[in-house]
Amino acid sequence: MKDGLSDKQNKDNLRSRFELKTLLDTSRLLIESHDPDFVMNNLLLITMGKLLSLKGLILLREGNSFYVAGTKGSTGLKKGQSVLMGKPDQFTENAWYKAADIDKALNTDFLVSKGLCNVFPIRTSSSHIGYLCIGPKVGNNEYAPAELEFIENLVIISAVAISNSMLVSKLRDTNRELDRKVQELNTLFDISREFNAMVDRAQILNVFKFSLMGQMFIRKFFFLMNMDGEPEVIIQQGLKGLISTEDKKRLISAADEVTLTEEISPKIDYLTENDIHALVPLRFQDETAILGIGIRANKQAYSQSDFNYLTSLGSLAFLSVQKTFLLEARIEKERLAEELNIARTIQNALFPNPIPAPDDYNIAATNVPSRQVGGDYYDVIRPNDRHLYVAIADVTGKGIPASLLMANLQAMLQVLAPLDLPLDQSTGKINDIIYKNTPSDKFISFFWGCLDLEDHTFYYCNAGHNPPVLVRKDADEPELLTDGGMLLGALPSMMPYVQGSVKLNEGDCITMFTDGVSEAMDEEENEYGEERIAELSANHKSESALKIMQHILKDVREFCNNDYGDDLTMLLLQRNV
Amino acid sequence: MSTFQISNRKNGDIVILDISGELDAHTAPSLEEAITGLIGQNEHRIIVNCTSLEYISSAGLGVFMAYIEDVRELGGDIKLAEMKPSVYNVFDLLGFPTLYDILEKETEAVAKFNEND
Repeated sequence: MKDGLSDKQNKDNLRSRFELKTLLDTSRLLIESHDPDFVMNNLLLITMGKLLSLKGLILLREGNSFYVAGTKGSTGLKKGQSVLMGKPDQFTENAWYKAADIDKALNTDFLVSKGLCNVFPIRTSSSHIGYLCIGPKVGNNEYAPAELEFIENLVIISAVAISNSMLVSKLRDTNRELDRKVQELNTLFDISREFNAMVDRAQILNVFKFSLMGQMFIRKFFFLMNMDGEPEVIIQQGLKGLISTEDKKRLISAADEVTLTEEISPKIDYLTENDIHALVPLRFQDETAILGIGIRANKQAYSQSDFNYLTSLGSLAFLSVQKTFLLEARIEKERLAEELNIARTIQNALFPNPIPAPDDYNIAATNVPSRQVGGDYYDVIRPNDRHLYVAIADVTGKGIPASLLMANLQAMLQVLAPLDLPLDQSTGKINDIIYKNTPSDKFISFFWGCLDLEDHTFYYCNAGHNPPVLVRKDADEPELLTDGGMLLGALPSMMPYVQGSVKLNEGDCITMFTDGVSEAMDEEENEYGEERIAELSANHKSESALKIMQHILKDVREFCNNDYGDDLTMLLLQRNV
Repeated sequence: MSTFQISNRKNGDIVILDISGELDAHTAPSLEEAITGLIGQNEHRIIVNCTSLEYISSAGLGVFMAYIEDVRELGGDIKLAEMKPSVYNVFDLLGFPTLYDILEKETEAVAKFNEND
């Protein structure tokens, strides 16, 4: 030969160059590819083409076991299938192994039975990734050392590429997972913003429904929460039949964490018949709600992260729904307050204004209700020139019920006063009417009197009221006006009421009051006491009725530190000097 | 206040909904109304053209989920077309392509309806 090379040498050279070129091309191709399937496909095809083998298999490591990552030819295995191939880092010392040796060592016939004969460990400098297993050459010829060496090199290059591409696809997955999380957070953010702006419960629940469907592909669900202490389904989608109250109670009280329907025992038909898959408990302060969800339209299983998301979304809806209830309660409260204001205006109009002021007499009165409307009452009526009626009363209880009864009593007095009936008879009639009109736990303590403006006789009847104090100008000891009978409304009038009478001389003064005054309490819960009212009335008897009342009011206010527990009413009738 | 607009036109027996702007919890009800309206008129071959759709939230996606079964039971379908990449990304992230026909061009969606006849 001209250049001194034999034919064989020439052929060997050509072959070497071809192999080198193949390795180089493959290497470039593989390194640039980030697709593991492409890399493995290439490894298998080149190997099979080069070695003229009819089958090839790539096993990759996943944790401590192996799975089929690529298969060509009739290996009888499927991609993704996991296989028993000993432990990782076994059979990695050599460049290649005979399949029969590995089977023997592992005491199986896994490789040989698939018709595989050579096994190349795939490893990078730091870790063992898997194996390339190949079948025999066509015609069952032995592999030449050069052929095995070529595959060895190819496997080394591919190992790096596989490892890289797997890393890339892992990154891709992680990125996608992150994208999804960002999307979920955006959804939560959007929805919380929407919910904040919404006060309509139906609208909130509708948005919630669409979000469940759109984000999670949930077509069947129900939302159970307590309404006035009773669990109610406030929204459901795609469910048939009804759930019993007992089952609702069981659901809402039982679940502490996400529970799968199949774990519930005894089973609840409503859940199983409607394919409800899981129950997600939601909490807001002390309240619990349950979100029951069916399987997803795309049949994907729920991950822990999905349940977390559902908990967040559900809690947001729960909170917003609660908010609408609180808002409604507040509106209702404001409406009630408004009505109470009106009631207060009406009640104020029931008190005499202006107070009649006959010659010779000086009258002072006050009413301080502890709430917007109260049950205390006083009146001064002058039906004719000769008579002046004064009245003071205290209805048990406070607020609206007491004020209604007070209005009832006021109407009766306005009708009775002009009739000039004896007070004992009138009081009996009033008692019978009040008794009929009221429940047995409602009473009125009542004192009224009729003053004859000509002879200055004061006729009175005390129906269980704190005795008014009569302070005489010329006497040291005050008198108490006690004649009468029992409380109004307690029993029908069996015992007739008694009418008392006293003569009022110049400078005499009657102080009438309700127990809001006498029973006002100091910080140690001592009562103010009727004696102090009598004492102050006596001490200031030379002053006007208004002055005397102001002295008492000031003293009571200081005594109870402005904290009256009850309605407070006083009426003073004083004959001028 | 988010902007969202919806209009429809016909192509044979297919109704094409052109939606534009932002489809979120706030605007989802108007899409819902449009779709239920179509179902009520027995129109159940629907293409949603998303050319001008700038944003979609999960509540918006929910509307599609809520009615696809009804429409398919009636022998129709809702197909989506002409999505911006950012919008498609959301559909894709949530796995919509497994449940819906999402096509690049409106004409492809029309063709797909017709080829199934």
